[in-house]
Amino acid sequence: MKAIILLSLARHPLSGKIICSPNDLRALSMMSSMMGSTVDAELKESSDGASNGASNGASFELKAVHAGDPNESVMNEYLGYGLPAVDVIKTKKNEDPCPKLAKYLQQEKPQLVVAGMQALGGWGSGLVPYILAEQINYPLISGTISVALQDGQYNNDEQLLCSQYLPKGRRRDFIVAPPLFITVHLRAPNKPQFVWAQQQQGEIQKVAANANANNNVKYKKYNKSDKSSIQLTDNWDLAPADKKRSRLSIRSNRSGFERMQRAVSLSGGGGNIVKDGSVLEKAQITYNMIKQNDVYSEKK
Amino acid sequence: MNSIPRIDPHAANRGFLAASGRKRIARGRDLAEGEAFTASQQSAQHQLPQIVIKDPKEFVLVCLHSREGTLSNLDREVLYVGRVLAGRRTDCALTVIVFGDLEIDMRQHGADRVIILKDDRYTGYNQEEKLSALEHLIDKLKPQNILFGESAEGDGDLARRLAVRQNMSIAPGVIELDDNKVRRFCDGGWQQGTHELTDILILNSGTAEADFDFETQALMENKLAQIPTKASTKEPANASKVLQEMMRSLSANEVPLEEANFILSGGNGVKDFDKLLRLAKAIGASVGGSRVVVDDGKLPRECQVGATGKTVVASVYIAVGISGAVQHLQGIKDCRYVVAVNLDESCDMVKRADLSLICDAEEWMDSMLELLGEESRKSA
Repeated sequence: MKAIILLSLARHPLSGKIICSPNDLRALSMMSSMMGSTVDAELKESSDGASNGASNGASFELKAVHAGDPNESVMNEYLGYGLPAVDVIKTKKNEDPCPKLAKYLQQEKPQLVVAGMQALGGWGSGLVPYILAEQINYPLISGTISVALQDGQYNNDEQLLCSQYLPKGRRRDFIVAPPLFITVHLRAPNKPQFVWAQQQQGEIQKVAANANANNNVKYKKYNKSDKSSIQLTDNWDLAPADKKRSRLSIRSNRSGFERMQRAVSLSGGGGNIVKDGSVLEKAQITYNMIKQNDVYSEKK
Repeated sequence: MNSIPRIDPHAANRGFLAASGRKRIARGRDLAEGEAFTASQQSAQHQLPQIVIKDPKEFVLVCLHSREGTLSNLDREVLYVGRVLAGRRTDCALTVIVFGDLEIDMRQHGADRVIILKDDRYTGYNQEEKLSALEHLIDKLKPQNILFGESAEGDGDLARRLAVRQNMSIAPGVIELDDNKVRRFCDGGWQQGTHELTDILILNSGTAEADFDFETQALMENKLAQIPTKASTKEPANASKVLQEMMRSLSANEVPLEEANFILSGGNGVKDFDKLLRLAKAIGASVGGSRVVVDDGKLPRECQVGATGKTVVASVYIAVGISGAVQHLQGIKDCRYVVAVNLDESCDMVKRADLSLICDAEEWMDSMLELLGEESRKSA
């Protein structure tokens, strides 16, 4: 099993310093828990003495890649979170990282690609996973909160069990045959451990993505002259952020009095008030209501 | 001599009839001569302006997922923005594409045309199917803009897939827009980008007021809703890898309170909190509490609902013995259906609640447990 995690750099919301992206640390934390469980399984297997060569060996390889400035010192910090090495593809400032990253992924052929939901620095549109998945032709599942490796239930290959976050306590589980591209939801646990010694041992490797590039990569050119430039920032006017926001509303030509009157007439009333009857009847009303609203779940 | 016109306050036509049915007096709002105060007048005052688009030439699309037949606040905002964008053009209709069932009246939500897609192939995380349906409709309608909300139901996901597949310009995470400009934050919130309106807009919450003081037609486009199944036999290589897809709900004690769908909350009117917990377990609800009971140590701090505690978004929220301090009501403002169990009919919680039961909290909990016991015996 080979997984690649995409790393980005974020800007701290208060200090403005360049930091490791919390979204990517979530992805890293998810990967290390997945790796931990795989390694445990491997250890158990070897202690059982089942070391026949036929076993497909649950080896797990995790690589990390970042497109940007290879001399950026903050990238070193990621090493402390348990990555032995980070591949950095050199890109110029404001260069679109997608073509080079797509080529890199095409060369590496990982079974799993993991990324945070969106970058918290730079353009931060959350589009990169979609562009890459489209280019390398991987299925993409967005907003996952856990992923695990499991033995093939349908055939002998390894399968991925991942669950996607949905609001109100719902989860959607998938069993997927690799390859797969996932993005990690903001609700996923973010608890990677920083270890100084690991940081010292790790290493930043510069890689050139266009070496031996597979020519099968189809990179859609976003033609800037027609209006379909997807995530390039060229046509956007950039300025320091103004936190003030005004809400869009249709300017009403009705008088303040009319609007006031409408608001008063709308807010009046309230709900159904049940005053009479025994407590048991009231409990029955509640019971019917929760049945009707489809929230009642029988005790297991 | 008498140049200043005098108004006779006792004249028969002085004033008008307010919505509450009372006679009100305000400047310039008198009845015409000979007109009487009637009920028809009252209804005329409530008539919302109608927006009728007979033969639309242009379209603005809004795409959303319904949940339990209703729409979220973000969805309403997106619809409002769509209506505004459609309104600045002539003969431009807001067409709403809804994945899933819809029970609410879309005439009050700014939709001129509605396309409901609730086939089996659109349930679950079938983004490829949804995408091909969208591509089909875009091809038919040639919309000016396509609006999505950055919701957790997967609207933003669909929008990004569409942008990449169709090579359309996209503005994700829009925080503000007017007739011709969108604004979004980038660089971790330190910079902002402004741009003219893009093909696809993904709106964050807080872009519009969502105060619909008009009515639209909301005509069903049943013909357009017939999306042909993909004719091409060539499946995209990235479609068939998902072997199995299952939905599950976390049980009530696993769900964090902020996400819980069903909450039973206790306040100062509750004496026996063991009973409350038992009842919550019996009906499968998460447990919440008001500030007072949490301060008293009757419930853990994680259970506190309100301004200093958690803001909850439950579908059903039962407030037992909670009178409804402003701070508490603030925490439950996004709950869909609120039930108040309280002795005091005049308390604020009863005013907020959709259903109020005026009785003692303890007695009500006893009856509920009794009733549930009976029901389970019946079914056994």
